[in-house]
Amino acid sequence: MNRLAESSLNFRRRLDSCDDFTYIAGKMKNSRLLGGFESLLLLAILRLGEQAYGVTIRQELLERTQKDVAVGAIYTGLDRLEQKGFVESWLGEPTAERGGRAKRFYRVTASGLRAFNDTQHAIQDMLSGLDLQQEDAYA
Amino acid sequence: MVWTYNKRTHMPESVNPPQMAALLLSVFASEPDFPQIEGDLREEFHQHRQMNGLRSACRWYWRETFRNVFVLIKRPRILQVLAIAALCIVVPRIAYRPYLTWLSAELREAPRVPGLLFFLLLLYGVCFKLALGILAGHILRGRERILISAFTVFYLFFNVERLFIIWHILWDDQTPLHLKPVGLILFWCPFIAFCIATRWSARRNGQRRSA
Repeated sequence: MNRLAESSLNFRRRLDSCDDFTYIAGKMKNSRLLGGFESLLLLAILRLGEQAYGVTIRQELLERTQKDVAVGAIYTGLDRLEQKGFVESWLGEPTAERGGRAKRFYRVTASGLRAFNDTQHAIQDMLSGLDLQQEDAYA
Repeated sequence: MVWTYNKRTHMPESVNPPQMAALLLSVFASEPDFPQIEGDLREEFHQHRQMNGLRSACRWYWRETFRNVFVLIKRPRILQVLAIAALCIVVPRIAYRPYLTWLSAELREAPRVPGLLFFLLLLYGVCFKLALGILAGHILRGRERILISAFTVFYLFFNVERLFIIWHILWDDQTPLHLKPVGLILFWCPFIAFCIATRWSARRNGQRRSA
């Protein structure tokens, strides 16, 4: 028992002495990184402002990234983001051109913005020191 | 803009997509975001119709329907339904052989009653499917439509061989007339029993929820 307590104490001391590790652990605490498609969805919502719903998000993605995504895939991604608390949604009025179905509008939350920035920082950190222009980088 | 309205649906004509495609998509009506997906598709269908005409819009809608079906099928909620529908097919098939062996051994010593084997096999199929239908309908509350659709597809797929035999018997001149419907009854009754049980279970769940 004593040995176990001693080894745990040693491990904690080693952790404390490792500045880089504690820095990264502190920085990444409570932050969840976004996937590529999730980042694109967040950016599309940010660009569209108050007019962000399924059709406009799909058209924005198609226009800017040439990515023709099925509307079901967009809602799967948006649902995941909403569960994580990165976006929030509300229902609009039903319209005749939608066959009487209401639109669901989306807005990026503060934690969504934070997650996006964390993701960008993580990518920048990973990119630093890499020269992707070199030919052998593509090998 | 002047809207012309459909007499049956009371919706503008230009937002009414191909009926079969809409029916195919409506299999996923249990999904929480289904109204938004359908609404978005109708809105874009309407835009396509205004810009490129009805034919192009219908082609676009069919393409999008298939794409969305493939996306929706991959969702865990739908995969769970597919797994349970497959189990409802596989479990009775696995249990069928031992049951038949046991039944044959029992009937060998019993007095011969015409149609007894047929009746017992029918009873087995119907009871098993009824029980599975109730259980599956209870587990997958609110997803009965996709369950029945998946079960229908699997049932037809796994019984293609039996369907061919039934078809052959129906058109075979040498088979006595009173034996011709036997295969059909043994094939369709368990299927109908499963659908009825699932619907009953769904209605019961709905009543409980509203209460």
